[in-house]
Amino acid sequence: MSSTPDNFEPRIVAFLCNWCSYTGADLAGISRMNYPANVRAIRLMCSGSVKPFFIMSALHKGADGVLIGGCHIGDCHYQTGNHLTKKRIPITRELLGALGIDPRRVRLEWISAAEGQEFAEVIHEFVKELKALGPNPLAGGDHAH
Amino acid sequence: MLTEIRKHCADLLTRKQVAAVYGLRERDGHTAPYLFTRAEDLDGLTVGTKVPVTFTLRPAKKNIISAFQEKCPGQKIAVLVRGCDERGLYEVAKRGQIQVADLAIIGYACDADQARACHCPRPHPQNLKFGEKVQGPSNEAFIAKIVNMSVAEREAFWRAQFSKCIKCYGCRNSCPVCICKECWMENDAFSPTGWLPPDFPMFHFVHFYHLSDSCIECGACVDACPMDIPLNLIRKVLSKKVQEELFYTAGQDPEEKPPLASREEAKERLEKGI
Amino acid sequence: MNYENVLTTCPYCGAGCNFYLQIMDGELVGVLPCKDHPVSQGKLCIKGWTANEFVTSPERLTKPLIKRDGKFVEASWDEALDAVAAKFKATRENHGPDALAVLASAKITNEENYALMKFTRAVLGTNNIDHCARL
Repeated sequence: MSSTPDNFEPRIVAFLCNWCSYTGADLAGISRMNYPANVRAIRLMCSGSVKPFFIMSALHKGADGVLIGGCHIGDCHYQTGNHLTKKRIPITRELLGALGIDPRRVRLEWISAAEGQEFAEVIHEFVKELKALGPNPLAGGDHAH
Repeated sequence: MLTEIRKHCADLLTRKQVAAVYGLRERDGHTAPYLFTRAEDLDGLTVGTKVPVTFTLRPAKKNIISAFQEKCPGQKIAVLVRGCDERGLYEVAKRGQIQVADLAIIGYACDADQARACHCPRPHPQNLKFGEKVQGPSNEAFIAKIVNMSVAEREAFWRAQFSKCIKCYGCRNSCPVCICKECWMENDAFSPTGWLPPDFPMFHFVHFYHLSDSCIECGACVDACPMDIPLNLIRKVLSKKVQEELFYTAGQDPEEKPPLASREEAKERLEKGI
Repeated sequence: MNYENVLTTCPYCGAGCNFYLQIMDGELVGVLPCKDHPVSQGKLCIKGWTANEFVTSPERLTKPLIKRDGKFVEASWDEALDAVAAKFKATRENHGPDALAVLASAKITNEENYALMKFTRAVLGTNNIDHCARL
């Protein structure tokens, strides 16, 4: 982790909720906002359908960071989907930390459909943070499969 | 304590207050769970060992007590429990497999030595009938080992520990709370069949996370591990986080809902004073 | 209702782990490790943990099968043993005894393994005998 190559570009897997965060990311694009091209967005119907196993899987398969984007609390299209997310992510981060995987690699953000600017800022920040953290030591796993 | 327990159970059976007493029996120097239906058999009844009475039957994926209740619905069964047995029973009841109303739960306390051997923070059941409550050892001191490590040290520690794993599934099979019909630990996406040791930390992550809000800290997984992986280090870290973050302790009340599977906000739980 | 645990030795390898077989109303319902057994100390490998499953498995062979015209057909034990003996004899006559080899098993007893060793060396006339637990 200490030997971070200068040209290290972190790969971020972003699980975005269809109703808010994905549309927010879309807005950032339509509004031609600049943000680093390190994000691979995966659209899900709700941030509540992001199982912690997906986050672990993304990290294991080589993502340097995982972003979970959902609607603000109270705005969930399915009423309470993001309440589940809100409870899961801190537990997931605690588990990752205890296992020796930096929990700062997992980030939960509430981004509404109108917050394109917010989305761009989050990506800027996250990329900066991940560059400081360096490449994910789990990348590639122990076995190729 | 044992004589009193035997007498109490004999009374229950002879007065036909219960159809059976489920507890531990010692025979030929070995202790195993047994269903006592006749008072005269109670001479073999024993307590105070590390043998659990709640566990899951496999491949049926059914708790042992729920199997009893399916065989004779509505009949009262007395169950002799330690603190951990009772908590395990409550966790399974929350998930709908056990009808607590049909059970006569008879609890007995573990002594300080047993509590220390199991790193058990609550070595007594709520339905305490026999024995004296003792204070269990502190979890804080136990998890300090992992808490005081840096992230990189923890990774090195767990890589070394999990590299010993032989994927026997003992941690899951011995767990009183693991009753899922479809187990993510068997999912090839996380730990392909035929690979040993399983990839760090996928296989274990699944089990740790899935038990984070239901682990009752009985230590059965650690006892069952042939490679002595200290799984309870992580489980206790998670239990603490679940208490701090979601104001929830597993195994307390069979009417409660597991927080990670319910849509109730943590704040609401705190306001309700649960 | 009846529920008890019967202590037994794992049928798989030569380590000699013990566990309980759980019997409910005469039916085998599961395996339970034996914490106070000196060999296994309440620990089992995946084979021990699932040792109850093959007993009632629908895939378990209950009758000998002989391949006829590319298909397995049910046969009596006499027919099956005659077929094996005839093939052994023919192979030995045509290619010599070292064309035969025997793999013994941990799922049978020491005495049966001894008999198998004698059969291999004295009857078949070859030293080609091995065992799955020869770790």
